[in-house]
Amino acid sequence: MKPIVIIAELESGTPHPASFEAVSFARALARLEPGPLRIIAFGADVRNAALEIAAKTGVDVSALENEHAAGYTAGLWKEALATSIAPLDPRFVVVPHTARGYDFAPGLAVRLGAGCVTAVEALQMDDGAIGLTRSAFGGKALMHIVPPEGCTVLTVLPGAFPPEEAAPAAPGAVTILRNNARDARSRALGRTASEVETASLNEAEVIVAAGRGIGKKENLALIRALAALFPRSAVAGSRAVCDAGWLEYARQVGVTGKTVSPRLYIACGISGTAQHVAGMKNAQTIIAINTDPGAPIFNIAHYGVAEDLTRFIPLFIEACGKVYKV
Amino acid sequence: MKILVCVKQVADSESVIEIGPSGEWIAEEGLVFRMNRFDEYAVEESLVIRDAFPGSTVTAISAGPKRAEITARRAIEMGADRGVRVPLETPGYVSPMAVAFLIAAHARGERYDLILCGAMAEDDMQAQVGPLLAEMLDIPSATSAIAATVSGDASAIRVEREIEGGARELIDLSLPALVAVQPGINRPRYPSLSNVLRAKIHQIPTEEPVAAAHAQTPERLVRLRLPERSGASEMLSGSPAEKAEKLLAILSTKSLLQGAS
Repeated sequence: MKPIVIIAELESGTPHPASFEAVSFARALARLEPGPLRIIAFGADVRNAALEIAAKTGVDVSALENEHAAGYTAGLWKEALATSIAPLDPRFVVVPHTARGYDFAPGLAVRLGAGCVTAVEALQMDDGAIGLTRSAFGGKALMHIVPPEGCTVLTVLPGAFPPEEAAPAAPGAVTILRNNARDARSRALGRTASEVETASLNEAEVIVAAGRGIGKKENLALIRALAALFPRSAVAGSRAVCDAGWLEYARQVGVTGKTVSPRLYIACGISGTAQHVAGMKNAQTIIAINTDPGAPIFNIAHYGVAEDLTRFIPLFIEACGKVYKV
Repeated sequence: MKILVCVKQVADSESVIEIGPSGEWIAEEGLVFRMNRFDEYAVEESLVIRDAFPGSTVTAISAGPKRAEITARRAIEMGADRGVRVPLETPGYVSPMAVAFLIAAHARGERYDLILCGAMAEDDMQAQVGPLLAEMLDIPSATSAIAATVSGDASAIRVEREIEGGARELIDLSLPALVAVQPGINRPRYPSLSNVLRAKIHQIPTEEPVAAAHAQTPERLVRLRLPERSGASEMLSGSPAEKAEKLLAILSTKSLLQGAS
């Protein structure tokens, strides 16, 4: 039984939530093809994070400490991880599909002589083999991929495998290891904080759209404030809102406007005519906020909020502020 | 500088798609093939960098069947100096590992200073060829580039990576290097008439086929299917404040909201 190795992601010395989802995914894998789990955490200051991960998951953690790992570069991560993983001869290496994970995972696979499948969102058996489900064609189709028989590096889409809630019987063992990997060819220069930023509709990952139900033009300020909570977001509108002159036609979504497929679409005060729905039904997650619980938009939304948006949006922004200090 | 830009030809899937009779790929009949939109940003970035360093050249490479020449030519129409096609005749799904291997075989002989790729392909959405290629060529790389600046002495490239929560991470890569760019890094240009005319007479050479020699057989696509439509939506219950909390929890779980907490 070859092991399944999980690469934990740390954020300023604490575990990124996607790390626990990666563990859930690894357990699901192990149910289909049994193998012992081991977590590897890499960073400049990993001790506390490793203890926390071991306590929450019950899985043994190898903590690789490297003073050069305060800032991320793919070169350093691949070097440190490849040398630590190779001797374990794993069946799978599980990596969170984060901005870091998808950056280093393919190259890590090359170093390990492994296969690589990214953005996995479900697991099943396909003709007696493990099948990995992932989105293709902008989410319009799903692929079932059977990994090769040797080692395979997998990245797991955040949100697809919820972390386990139950506490383990006993914490996993933590081994702190000194790591001397260096990356002479790239240099991390630090981070810049997030800024409020709107992208054009086609490039936006999150679209907050206003319909006639926002009531008056002044309420667009609420829509903009909601959009500002998300990176790579944009404000859009229904035909009615553009016809009313509240938004320019370039921002119209629907049959006569743009067709969009963002990761998240929040429809505010939009009834959900077929014309509008045709332009946004391929969004990965659709949230609808509308006072009318019978509005057709709720038929295609994944989550519905039947509330007055002038009341609900400020409450939501306030709730975000408590958690994220925005 | 010698710049390589990787361009993929994809079936235009922005309209309705259907699964083909094999059950392993979309029905391509009647679909238009064109350049992967994500790669247009890589082409634009390559042209901007080339124009900042006199004497530089941009080569556009596309791995695919004969029709992929049209996509290499499209890059020339945008302003690239030459196009190359690597023959890859397999229909349907092709492992990114195989594509990267073929491009690496070309790039090794050419000693490019900079290789640019798009964030991902619209069809398989794997976002792998860039980072795979960098590792195969043993050069540093960065993905999700929302800004890129080559140093005045052309020895390094400074990349701003777009990461979660709208934050950015700055990285210097010494050249040669590979950068995969994010949409929004620039505004891809439309072909000029003079470049369209130039592209018309431009020969797109075909690389000698090389046998992919990766350590193991690649992953296999066994099925392509359309997603099921979730029936009724989940209506959030409780007081308005409770609904706000629930919505926040849902978005956090899906990593759609990640503030600088």
